[in-house]
Amino acid sequence: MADDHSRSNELTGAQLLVRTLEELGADTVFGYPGGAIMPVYDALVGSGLRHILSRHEQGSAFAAGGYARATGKVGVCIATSGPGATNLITGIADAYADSVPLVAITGQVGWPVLGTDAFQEVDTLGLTLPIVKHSWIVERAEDIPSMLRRAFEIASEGRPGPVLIDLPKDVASAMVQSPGRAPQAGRVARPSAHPHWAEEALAMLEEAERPMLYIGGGVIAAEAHEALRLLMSERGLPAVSTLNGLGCVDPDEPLFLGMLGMHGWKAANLAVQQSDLLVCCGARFDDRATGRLDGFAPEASVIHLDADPAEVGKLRSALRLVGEMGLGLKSLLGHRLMIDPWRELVASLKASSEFDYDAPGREVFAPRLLKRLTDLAGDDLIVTCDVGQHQMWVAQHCRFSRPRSHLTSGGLGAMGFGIPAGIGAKLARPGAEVVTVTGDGSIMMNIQELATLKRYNIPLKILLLDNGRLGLVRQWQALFYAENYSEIDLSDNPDFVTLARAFGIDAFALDRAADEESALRRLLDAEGPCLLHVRIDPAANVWPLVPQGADNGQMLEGEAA
Amino acid sequence: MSDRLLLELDWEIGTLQRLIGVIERRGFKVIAIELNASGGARQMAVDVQPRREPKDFAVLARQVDRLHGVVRLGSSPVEQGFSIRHRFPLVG
Repeated sequence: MADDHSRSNELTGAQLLVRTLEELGADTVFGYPGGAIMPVYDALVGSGLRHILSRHEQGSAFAAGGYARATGKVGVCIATSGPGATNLITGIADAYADSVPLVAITGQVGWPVLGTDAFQEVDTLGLTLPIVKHSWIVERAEDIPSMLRRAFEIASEGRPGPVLIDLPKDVASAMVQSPGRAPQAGRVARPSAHPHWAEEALAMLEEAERPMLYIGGGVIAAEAHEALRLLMSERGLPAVSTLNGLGCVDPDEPLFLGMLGMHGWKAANLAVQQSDLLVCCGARFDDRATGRLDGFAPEASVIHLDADPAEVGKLRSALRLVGEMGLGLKSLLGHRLMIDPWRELVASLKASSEFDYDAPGREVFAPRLLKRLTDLAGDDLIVTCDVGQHQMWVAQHCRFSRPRSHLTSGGLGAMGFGIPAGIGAKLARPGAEVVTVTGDGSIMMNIQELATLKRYNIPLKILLLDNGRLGLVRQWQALFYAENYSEIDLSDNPDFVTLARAFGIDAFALDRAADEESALRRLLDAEGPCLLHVRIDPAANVWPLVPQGADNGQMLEGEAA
Repeated sequence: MSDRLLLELDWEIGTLQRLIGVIERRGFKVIAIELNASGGARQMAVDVQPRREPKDFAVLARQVDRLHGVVRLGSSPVEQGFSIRHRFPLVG
């Protein structure tokens, strides 16, 4: 049915949509067909777009998110109306929570039956209102190019995020005259912070005795990590990072203390608590980072740099530097600060907070395995994580020296993110080594995407840490619910090696610490997709841990902390 | 104590739902609404109060301002004894 629209002056709305996507620079889209979106799938045939068929719409949304996180480009996912759209929602919410540029295109029943509870009709626009930057229901096919172009701009500009276009089937099928080409969506220039506030920020920085950079994912979204590194080195500033800010600063930088927060590095939390000035760069005082908010960096004033004016001052009063992150950071450049006693304290905290990777016994020790993974894979490694203990171990023990190398569902914390995000990242960055680190709970949430790996022979490597439990829930039940274990047992998991092989994926198991290195090498050397199943101690915990409601100075520490 | 959002809006599908949704999700309740439907863009005045805990109205105003259907935003405390009607006379 797909016409050769390049030779016709008349296009369907769906053909116009596909052509506009091509013109906007989209090369890969992730989706799943169905009734109301069939005109778009008809138009995809013979187009220049690479369509990746996931096996569940949630996989499409996470894959598009992984593609966007790995590149900074807009990710595109497509689904039909009703259940197709509702299955996208978790992925859209993930993109909203972590400020990921995403355009979701959903089919909708035709306008004549919209509002009649038609088959596979659901109020997609209404359901997604709280988790998108903007959204439309398309009323006229002629509007598709301008709407799509605006969607790409909104998804990318300022604080990035998802945009939804709900496309009724009659609009997608309507014939319209071919309009001119849609211009390429470029990065929209962001205003710089007001010079008056920048001067005041400069004075605050130069008067501080214990200043600290508090780095978030906004620095990566703004491609401002070079400006950040320059500020850090020129001023001699110590720094900590949120989960989503990892990769902005080389972890070997002596004054970088790593991740702060609930499972943050001890040195990071202790130093922040003693600081007298926090320079918050693209972070949002998330409760997982701050612990008890009124006990967070209690002596510190705050300078807050962010693209989103609504984020500044939301949870902590601050001097506001709203605008382009790179320009804001550069406005703080200057001479090396006279804070040697503070630097010495920070360096001593870092030296005394090193993790201990010596674990007795023959069992695999997950933190050591993850550290070794990044040692072996080198700096061009991208890790996509699932959610749970393994996610925190990755943040603590893997080495991320580049932005967009640590892709994790930080804000939403969505289990099932890892494999589809890895698919998106590997397709976006085929030259990079991409490894998904997952757990036995998380992998089952999107296990069907192994079929996607097989279909497209995507050489994603999967490191599955299996403790037969929902490990982080078990840890909390042990520590805070008097060991009243409730629904955390997954000991009847399938045989994951057999399961992966059933999908046509190469797979093998690691059970002994002595084989850690050879197993990792085999995983990384595999030519196609490969799964390494690792049995780990079901009683292992993530340390340190700041209990909910405590401040970050009140870390619990256990074994191997 | 109420505060007033004065808005000029692009009247697209979902604009009103989006606006009220942000106000309610961010911990405020709507006390009064007035809509002036004349002209292309619609003008609206919305009086709001924190639903439970004290909330910073300035933060809400910024959260409303970033909505893409909001063309212009002003705000003011609600004056005693003045109804919302004084700001935008109803059409007809």
